[in-house]
Amino acid sequence: MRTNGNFILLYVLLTIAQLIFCNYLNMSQFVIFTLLPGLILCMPLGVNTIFCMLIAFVTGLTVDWLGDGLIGLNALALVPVALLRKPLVSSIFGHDMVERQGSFSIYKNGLFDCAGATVIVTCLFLLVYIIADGAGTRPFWFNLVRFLCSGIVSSILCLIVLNVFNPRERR
Amino acid sequence: MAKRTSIWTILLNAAIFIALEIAALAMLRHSGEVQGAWISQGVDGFNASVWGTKERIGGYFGLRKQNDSLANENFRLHQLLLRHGLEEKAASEEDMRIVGSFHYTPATVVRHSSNSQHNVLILDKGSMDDVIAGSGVVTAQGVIGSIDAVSEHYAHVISFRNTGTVVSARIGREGAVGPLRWDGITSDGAILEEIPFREGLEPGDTVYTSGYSELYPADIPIGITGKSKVVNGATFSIKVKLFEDLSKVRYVTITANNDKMEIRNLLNESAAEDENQR
Repeated sequence: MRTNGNFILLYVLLTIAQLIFCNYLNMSQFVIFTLLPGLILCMPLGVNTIFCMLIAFVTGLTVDWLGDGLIGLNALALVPVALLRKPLVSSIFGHDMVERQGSFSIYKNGLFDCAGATVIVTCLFLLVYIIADGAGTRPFWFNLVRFLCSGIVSSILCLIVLNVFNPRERR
Repeated sequence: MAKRTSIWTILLNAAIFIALEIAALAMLRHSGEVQGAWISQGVDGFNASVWGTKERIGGYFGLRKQNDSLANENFRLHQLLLRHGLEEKAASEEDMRIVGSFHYTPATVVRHSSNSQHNVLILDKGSMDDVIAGSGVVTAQGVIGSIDAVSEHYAHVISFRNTGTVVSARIGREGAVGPLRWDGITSDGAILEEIPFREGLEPGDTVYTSGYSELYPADIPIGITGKSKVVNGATFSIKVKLFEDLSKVRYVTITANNDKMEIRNLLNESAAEDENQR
C-alpha cells in the first residue's frame, strides 16, 4: 500500500486526467470516459464511508465545475459508488480485507476479481450518470448503447487506475 | 452493543448519502434546463404521493369524527321527519289525539357485550343529559333495549338480546300484535309469539313496534317475518329477521316517554277503583 502522501498526489493527478478527458476527449456522444469510479474504489479501506462519500461528492463537483459538464452530474453518480464501496469490496475480496483495512491489486487478488469490482462500480456510476444526463428525453436504445460502450471503455480505464494505485503488490 | 453501533452507522451513512444526493440533484436542477424539468417532475410526483398517503391516513383516522357528525345530522333529520309526519297526521285526522309524546336523545354505544344470553350495552349519555332509567333505546331500524340504570355520564342498557326482554310488536301497520323475543342464538333473529291463529300470514311482512309499550314509539320497523309454526293449535310463533344487527350497532336514540307517569297514575287509579268495588 502506498503512503497517504502518494495516494493524495496520485488522486489529484488522476482527477486532473479526468478533467482533461472531460474537456478535450469528446470522441462520441456514445462514449463517456471516466476514471472517477476507479478512484473511489481504490481509496484506502481505512477511510470510512461517510468521509469517502464526502470526498466523492467534492471530487464530482470539482470535475463538473472545471470540466465542460452539468454541475452536480458527476457528484450525483459518484456518491452511490462511495456508499457501496465497502460492501462491494467485502463481497468480492472477502470481509477479512475490510476488517484488516488491507488493499487489493490485480497481482494479489487476480484480474477476474479486480475486473469484476471495477465493472460493477463503473456500471453503477454510468447508470446514474446516463439516466440523469438523459433526463427522460433520450430513447432507451440510445441510453443502452451509450451504457454498453462507456461501460467497456471506462471499466478498462478504472482497471488501469486500480493498477496505478497498487502496481506491484503480490500475494 | 456492536450491533447497535452498526445500525447507527448504517443510518448515519444513509442520511449523509441522501443529503449529498439531494444536494447534487439541487445543483443539477439549476444547471440544465432539461434536467431541471425532469427533477421538478420527479419532485412533484413524490410530493403528490406523500400528500396523497398523508391525506388517506388522515381521512382514515378522521372517520370516527365524521361518523359522529353524520350520526348527529342523521338524528336531526330523523327528528325533522318525525315532526313533519306528526304534523301531517294531526292535520289530516284532527279529531284524533296523538297519544304518547317521546323525547329523543342521540347516544353512542361505548361498550357492548354480545356473547352471552344476558347482553348489556353502555351508552355515553347519563343523568347529566337528562337520561332516566326506564327509557327505551332504538334506532331507525329497530329496538335495541331499555335503560335500567344511569350514572352521571353513562347509561346501562339491557339489550334486546336478552332472554328476558320482550317488545310489543305488530305485523304490518294494522296487523296482529304480540310479544317479540330474541331467538337466543343469532344477532339478528327474533321470534314473534301469540299471534292469533285466524290471522293470515305472509312471509316477508314488516314487523313494527306496536306503540303499546311505554318505552318505544309506535311504527318503528323492526324486521321481516319468516317461517311460522302453530303453537298449541291456537297461535302462531313466527321467526323474524331483524333489520338491525344488534352486534354491530353503534349509534342509537334514547326514547323517553313524557306521558309515562300520567299513564301509570291512570292505571294505578283504575286498579284502586277496581279494588274498592270488590
